[in-house]
Amino acid sequence: MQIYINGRPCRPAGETLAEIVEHFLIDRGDLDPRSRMTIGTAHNGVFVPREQRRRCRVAPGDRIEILAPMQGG
Amino acid sequence: MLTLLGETLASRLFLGTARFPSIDLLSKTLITARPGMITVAVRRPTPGPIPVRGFADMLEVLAIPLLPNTAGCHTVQEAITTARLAREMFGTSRIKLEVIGSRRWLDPDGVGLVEAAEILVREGFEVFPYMTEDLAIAERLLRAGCRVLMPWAAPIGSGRGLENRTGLVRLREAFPAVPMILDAGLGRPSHAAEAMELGFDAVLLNTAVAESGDPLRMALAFASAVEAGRLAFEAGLVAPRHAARASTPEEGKAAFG
Repeated sequence: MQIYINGRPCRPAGETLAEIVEHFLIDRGDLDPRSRMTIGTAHNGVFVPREQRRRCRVAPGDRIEILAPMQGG
Repeated sequence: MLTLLGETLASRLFLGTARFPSIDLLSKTLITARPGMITVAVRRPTPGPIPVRGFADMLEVLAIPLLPNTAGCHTVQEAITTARLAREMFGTSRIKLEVIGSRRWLDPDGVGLVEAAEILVREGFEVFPYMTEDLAIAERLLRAGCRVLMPWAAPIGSGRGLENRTGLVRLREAFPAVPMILDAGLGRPSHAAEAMELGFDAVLLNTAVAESGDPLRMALAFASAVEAGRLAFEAGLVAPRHAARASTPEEGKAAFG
């Protein structure tokens, strides 16, 4: 199965958005618990609140966004 | 000092946080200039660990009120999803709502803006709409529940100043009780002073400070200009005249001829 994380095709590292987020961060070498509280997520263009990530199951072709606070104007 | 929607802010200068040469210089600039509010964004992270210790930590330490944006959103749906993300990530219901029209001019899409504002206000957001000086759009945004308006001076990052001064004066006069922040397109401190002289409640800018030769000093220059302009507005400016009128009275002048 293939999904898209931040626009890049990949194989999902779990069945739920929570698992995918965790692997996304570990793959980047990020073990800081604060990162888990800082990022935001969307599933197929719809915002998924932090507490709902465990209930959000992914399917082939799904588009996941994992976003961070950035400088902006 | 400015009281905006019940909150007392340290300054009428609001700053964007993008395009600074470094986080360190951004941090020093914010500590020194102490803006009333700063804008932040939601983006895909760059490679490596999420920069919690950098930017997010700095925001927490400085404790300057945050105004997250929906920068770069060209559809209502994009803007709404971004606003919902920002509320969770930054812990504020304030949102600088941008629904952008053309990619060349980055002009506000008034129709999309009103539609998105209606939805977000219903969800409890405090919407700061990035808009043109269009009076009808302003009316619709207020009817949608916006309590503040944020008209542009000129296209984002253009540094051109108040391109449609007459239109901005009309907007200010049409809704005298509505807080208005002039946003985007300011290039010089004198532009900021001009906006404040016209009675705008605050100005928001980014590029003019971040890309100047010395962002810290430029932020201070803008802060001074904002203060000067506001003082002038409160004092009351004299109306311009077509012809000269002597400052020194004619009465009592000696006759030598």
